[in-house]
Order: sequence, then C-alpha cells, then structure tokens
Amino acid sequence: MGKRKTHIILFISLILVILLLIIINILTGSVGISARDIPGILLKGDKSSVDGRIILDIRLPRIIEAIFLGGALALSGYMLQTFFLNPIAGPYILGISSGAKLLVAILMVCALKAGFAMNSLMLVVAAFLGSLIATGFVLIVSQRVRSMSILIVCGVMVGYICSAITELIVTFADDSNIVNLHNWSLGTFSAAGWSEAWIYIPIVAAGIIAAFLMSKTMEAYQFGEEYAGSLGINIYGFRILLIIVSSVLSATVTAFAGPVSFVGIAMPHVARNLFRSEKPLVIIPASFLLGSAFCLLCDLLARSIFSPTELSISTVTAVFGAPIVISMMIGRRNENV
Amino acid sequence: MSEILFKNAVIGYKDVPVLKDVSFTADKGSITALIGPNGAGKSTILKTAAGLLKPIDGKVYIRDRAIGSYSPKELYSIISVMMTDRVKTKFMSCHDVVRVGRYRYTGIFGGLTDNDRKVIKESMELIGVWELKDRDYATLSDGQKQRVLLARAIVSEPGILIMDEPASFLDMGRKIEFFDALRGLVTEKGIAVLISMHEVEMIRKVADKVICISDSGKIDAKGDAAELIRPAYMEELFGMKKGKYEEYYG
Repeated sequence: MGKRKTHIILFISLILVILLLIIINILTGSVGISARDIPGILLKGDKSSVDGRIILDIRLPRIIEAIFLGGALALSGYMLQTFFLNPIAGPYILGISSGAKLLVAILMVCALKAGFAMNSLMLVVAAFLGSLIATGFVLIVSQRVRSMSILIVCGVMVGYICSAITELIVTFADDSNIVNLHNWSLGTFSAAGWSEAWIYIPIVAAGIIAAFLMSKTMEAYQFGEEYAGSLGINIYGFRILLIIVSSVLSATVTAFAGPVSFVGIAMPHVARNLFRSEKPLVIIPASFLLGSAFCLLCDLLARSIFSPTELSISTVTAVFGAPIVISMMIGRRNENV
Repeated sequence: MSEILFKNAVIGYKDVPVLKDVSFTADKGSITALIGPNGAGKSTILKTAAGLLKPIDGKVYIRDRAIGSYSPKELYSIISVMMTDRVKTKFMSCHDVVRVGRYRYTGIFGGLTDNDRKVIKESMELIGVWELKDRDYATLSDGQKQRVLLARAIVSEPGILIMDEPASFLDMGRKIEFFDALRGLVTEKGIAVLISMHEVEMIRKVADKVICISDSGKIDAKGDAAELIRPAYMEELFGMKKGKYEEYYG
C-alpha cells in the first residue's frame, strides 16, 4: 500500500500549501496591514476599523472565492475530460465558459436597461443556460469530427465569437456599472462578496458530492463506452449527468468570476501526474485542491505584481496553464489527440 | 438449455440488416468460434449476443429468455464482454484494471470486500497474471495486456463470455498462451464462450464448434471444426484462389 501512503502525504502537503497561500493572501494587498493585528480581526470578526473591513469584506471573500471557484473549475474540467475520454478538454478551451459569459452579459445589460438588479441566482441560471448552449454546440460538432484537436479549434473559435459579442454588448451598454461588467468579462475574483458566497458554496459542495457519487462509474467509463455499457451502466444517462454537473460547476464559476482560463484543462492533468493515478476517487479531490491552490496563487500574483493595478485572473492563469497544456499535447503527439 | 440461442435472427445496425437467418447455439463449458472474412458480420453477432445491439427480427435468447426481457443489470450478471477497444490509461495497475470487472459487486465508491479480493486473486492466478498485479497496465506487452483483460472479463464470475478477436495482434507464442488460458478457464469454470477469431489454423485446438459467416450476409456453415476447416472450403469462404490455402497454411 505504498501508493496510498504517498497519496496521503500528497493530500496533506496540498492542504498545507493552500493554508500557506491563504495566509500570504490575507497579508498581501495595496493597504499594508500588520500581521499582528490580523488574528485579532479574524477571531473577533471586527468590522469597525478600516483594516477590519479590508480583511473581512475584501480579502477573505476573495480567498474563499478563489478556493471554491478554482476547485470547481478544475473539477468541471476533469468531468469534461472523462466525458470526452480525452485529457485535452476544459470548459474554457471548448468555449463553454464564453457561452456562459455571453448569456450573463446579455442578461446583465438588459437588467441595467430595464432598471432592475440581477441577483446571484439569476446570474447562475443565465450562465448555466449559456454553458448548456455552448456545450450543445460542442457536442454536435463532436459527433461530426472524431478528432479532439479539431473539436478544440472549434471550441476556441466559439469562445472568440462569444467574447466578441460580449465586448460589443459591453461597449454599447450604458456607462453606469460598465466598469464592473468589463472587469468581470475578463475574469476576476474581486467581484463577489459574502452574499454571493452563500450561493456558490452550496452549489460547489453539491457538485463535489455528485462527482464522488459518480466516481465508481467514472472509473469504469474510462475503459471505454462499450465496456462500461457491458457492465450494465446506463451510458446515455451517465453522460448527460456528467455534462450537467460539469456545466453547473463551470457556469457557477463564470457567473461570479467571469471566464477563468486553463484551470479546468491543466489541473486534472497535474493531479494525475502528481498522484500518478487515474482513480476518480483520488483525482476528484486532488483536482479540486490543486485548482484551489492554483487560483489562490494566480490571484495573489494578479493583484500584487503591478499593484495597485490588477491583472485579470485569466492573464495569470494562462501564463502558467497554457505551457502545461502545450506540454500535454507534445506528450501525446504519438497518440490520436 | 443453451446459454445463447439465435433462431432465425435478423441482425444489424438500426434497421440495416447485416446478417439474416442467423441460427446457432452456444453451450455451457464449450467454445463456439465465429470465422469469416472481415466485414462479414462477426462483430455484429457478438454485439447482438452481448445485448449491445438489438436484434431486428427473430429470436435471440440467453438462458431460454429473450435477451430484450433482461434488464442491463441482470444481463451483465450473466454475460461478460471482451471487445476490441484498447485500454488507454497511464497510471492504472493491472490490479486496478481487473478490479473494475467487479463493478456490479462493489459498493457505491467501488470499495472491495475480502471476497472481491479473493475472486480477483483467483481469476488473475487462473490466467497466470497475478504476478503482474502491481505493474502499470500501460507498460505491459500486448500478450500480457490481453491476458489481463481476460482476467478482467472473468472476474465478474460470468456464465457467458463474449470475445471479439482477442488474439489478433499477438505473436504465435502469445496466441498459444492466450488460448491455453482460455481453454483452462472453460474447463475449470464451465463457461460458455462465444469468440470471433482469425486463427483458422488453430481453431481445431481452440473451438468445440465453428460457425462460418460468408460475405453473402448469412451463416454459411456450422459444426465440428475438424470437418469444416478444409482447404477447398476455406478458399471459398475467404475468397482465395484455388490451392492458395494449401500453399500458405498446408
């Protein structure tokens, strides 16, 4: 059981890395807050001071968001990869995040014009519908082309089209709130506060539970559709469930943080290679934790490199994520990607 | 009672018949082999017998019950399938691969009981792959891989085993190893095996019964291997010029 021991050590190290990143994230920001004051602020929940509000209402929600949405994105990517039986798949690269973004942007602008405020749940629903439409398109294409590379090119194109239309809408929208909308459409963990957290945390938690409940079937499915069918698995139902859970997760991320690139495709790959395993029961939590850690790190960089100017999160995740994906593709050059 | 019975079945994909008037049986403790040219419909018969394709017309019975009346769960507690899809994994040990065959026995997260472990060990020992259990499946030779997949196919303790050209890309020595393991298995467990194969020259040793499928979309002949595998008939079945069978296989 040497493998199990290694896995436990890896999981503990991952959690320690996340804790470390949380601490650094709390300490870092354009306003210097003494490390000595922070335990007091956190324990008392004291929002009376400016420092208290910065920690509790700005930095902490942002950390929570990076942890849950980063993890959700990685998990969503892993489920898509299982669906396509191919490690080169993710919600961003297949255009699914951009589809969600487009529908959310349309709804937001309409809401602004009509003069009512969108609540978080409406955002999630819009994002979910948008991602389902984009996913539907990807599935139609995938039935016509057998090659994953062509599917990805199509996904990237869909992403460009959706982003272009989103930009168009954002540009012609009213001035008010447009700055927020613009930031969100590029991807950021700064937009959501506590009230949003109470929406996305339960959704993400439900997604994790669903993934665990599907883990045994996911493992069998990895051996091919036909084989899974010959174990008595209802392939059609299982695939639909996979796509729905994956879409809910990536749509939730898009609704609150905008499109975040390369986490969904790269982190499951890192998880598989780090844990040297393909057991869903291992890779589900491993992808999630890696997604959390990766987004914490990227968000830290996004807001500290050119502080006080903030980079969009996708700029940073792309810098690290894209090379991982390229190395994956090179590593698979002899197989039919 | 036959394990598998086809009677005047019409089979194919989505109302496009590939084969008509298919009648044969496969019995307990015996190996029934399908031979014939590529594309004649061997895989179609196998998929229909495995419940992966619905028969268009006629009767397909598993243990005296129409195959359509089984729920997937019931059906695959009797049948185990070894098709040609290659396993593309990087970090799966052979034990992991075989373990998945216990799918219908394991709990919600796929945990193994002592009995599961025992059956996995016995199956892998019977096929002679127990010593490979900790090896990464991806690093095995083709021959070893096929034997691990055979172990995976029997770990669910099936009554019927359906296999599509399991030995096609193995070398001569590995083919013999594989068929030896299969024979041992049938004798030991009394399983009914329905197999398609191209190793015509080995069929007398492997199969108890042969079903020949010709290009014309029907079963051309069936019966004892020793009677059927004759040069003139093989030349006709596989569309060879006269004397060629003798020239290459004689």
